[in-house]
Amino acid sequence: MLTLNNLCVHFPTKNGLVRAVDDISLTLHPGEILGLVGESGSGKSTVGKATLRLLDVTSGNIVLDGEDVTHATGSGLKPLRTKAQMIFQDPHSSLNPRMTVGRIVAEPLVIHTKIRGHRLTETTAKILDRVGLPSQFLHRYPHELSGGQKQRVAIARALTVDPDMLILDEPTSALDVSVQAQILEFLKELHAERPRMTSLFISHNLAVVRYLCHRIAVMYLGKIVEEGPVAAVFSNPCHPYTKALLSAVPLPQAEQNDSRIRLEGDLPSPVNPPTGCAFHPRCQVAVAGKCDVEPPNWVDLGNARARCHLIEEQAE
Amino acid sequence: MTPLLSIQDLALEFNTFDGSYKAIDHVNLDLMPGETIGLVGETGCGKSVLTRAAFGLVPTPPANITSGSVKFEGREILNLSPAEQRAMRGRDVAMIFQDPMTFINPVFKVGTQLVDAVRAQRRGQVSKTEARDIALAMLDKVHLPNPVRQFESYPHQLSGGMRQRVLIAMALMAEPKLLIADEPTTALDVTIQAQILDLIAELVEDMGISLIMISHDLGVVAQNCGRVAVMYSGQIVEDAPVKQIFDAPCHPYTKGLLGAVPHPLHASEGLKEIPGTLPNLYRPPTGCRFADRCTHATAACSVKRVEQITVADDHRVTCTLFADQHVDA
Repeated sequence: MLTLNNLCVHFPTKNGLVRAVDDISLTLHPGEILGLVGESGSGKSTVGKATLRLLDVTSGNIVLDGEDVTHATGSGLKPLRTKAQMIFQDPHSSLNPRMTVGRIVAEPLVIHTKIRGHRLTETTAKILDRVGLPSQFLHRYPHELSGGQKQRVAIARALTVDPDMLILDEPTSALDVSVQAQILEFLKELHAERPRMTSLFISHNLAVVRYLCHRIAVMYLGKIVEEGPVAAVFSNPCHPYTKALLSAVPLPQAEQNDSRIRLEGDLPSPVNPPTGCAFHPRCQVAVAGKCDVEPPNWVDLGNARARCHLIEEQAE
Repeated sequence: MTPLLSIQDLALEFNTFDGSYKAIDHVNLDLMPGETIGLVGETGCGKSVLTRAAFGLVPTPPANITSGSVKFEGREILNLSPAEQRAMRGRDVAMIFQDPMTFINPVFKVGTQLVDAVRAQRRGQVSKTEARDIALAMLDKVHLPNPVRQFESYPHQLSGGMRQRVLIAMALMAEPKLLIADEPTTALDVTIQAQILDLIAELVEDMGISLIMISHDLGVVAQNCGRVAVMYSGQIVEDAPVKQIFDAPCHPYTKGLLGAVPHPLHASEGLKEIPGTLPNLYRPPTGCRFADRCTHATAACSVKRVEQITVADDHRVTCTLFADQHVDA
């Protein structure tokens, strides 16, 4: 459904070149939900935005549904918008406060289809109903809705053009847990109903990814360090960063895990990333003279893959 | 043993143009010296207002404390003059907040602010050089890398985790008896969150401080607190040792909250949504405030106010379902 080949997105700043996304390759098959996780500044949102061409790509290419969209511009982007839609973290800032819910949800239809008049209202009401909002909401403004309702409106707007690909950028992190549960259940249902629906789910919340996604890709400083099916990666993480990330999550249970890995320090600056493996300054098992010099290569681990010198050695 | 902090029957409302908003409804909470308690609940349940009101940090008006008492080390706080309350805050009770940047002045160097804080906490009885030494020693204690250099930095030059360390240092320099941490890690990444939570646990134990940790994340509370109080629309609905909250929760809302979060490491079968929305606190229901959303609710739930029931030693729940399981503590 979606293939990213050696995608790079670099931003020139006055302090130097920021390699927000550095040589990322990913494949999403139809019907799949891929969770893209990482800490703030790891470049996961940039991947999402670049995929929809909301940001310009420095190099590499993006193939969506068999079509290369890397260099589409202007009206060339219009067909892309009916195939892929995005849902953002904060529904309060992604909905226009001066438009009613009805107009917000109808706007993609006005742009992409010839539906007008009362048929437009009908279609809009139907889509709102699909996300569990009654038709009275058509005439309300975003400020009259709760956070969960606003996020439903944002999802409804994305679904109007019947896309096969959704990019969800932290869709539940601004919501309370009980509302988060409602949205996650809804997304799960949506995928069950539409087998071709494919999602890129960007999140820093590992529990949510574990629950919703089929596969997970872990990003660190603009690069993917590990990728595989969720069950495999969560039960048997290979990359030291994935291990540390998983053991950092506080568990909602009385007994906590004693043998936890603690990372020291902060994420390094992407302007001046560490040499070799970008993770080596925080890595507890880094080998001097190897990890800080050479960038690691991908190691194939059956259905998963990871990028670490130590795994490379074990594999040999 | 007398509790360090004892909140009895505290009720607070906000007077607004739309009427009075009953934010805190007759809450009881005792905290023993050295105890760590987690206050959990969703947005708007009153967890922050409760702790702030207890120490006179909610401006009155618009707020109005309609009943109750708050005793700190046996001394009633609510009758103290603003000056006396102010003297107690910062020295006996310290707070840290969710977003450290909001609580550090962006135009002054970190060191200047720490020195000012030390001198304010010790009533000007220390010289600037002594204050500097105290502050640097504390920065070392919170494991801030390179404290001497950070002393000369401005807040924007530090990362989120480092700023939170500075704020923790500032809060603990006066060696308070109680630390209130209001969502201290919500703005941080998980690996940094883990560092800060470990640091808080370490300092609380070393310095023998009591802790109230406010969070919406059950995992955070499970990791750092000995006891958990679950809040729902201005009331504490369940209050129990951490093990009981997770292994044998009683209140339907606690169960709902636990069922709504996916487990980070195992596959979860399907999340249990809590149907409905929060009650309107301008006109709160007469009976149980959770009754409308509760799957176990009976007609009796909506009739009259539900009292707190002690179901086991140190385990209290506000739910009619447990009325016949009352034990005398």
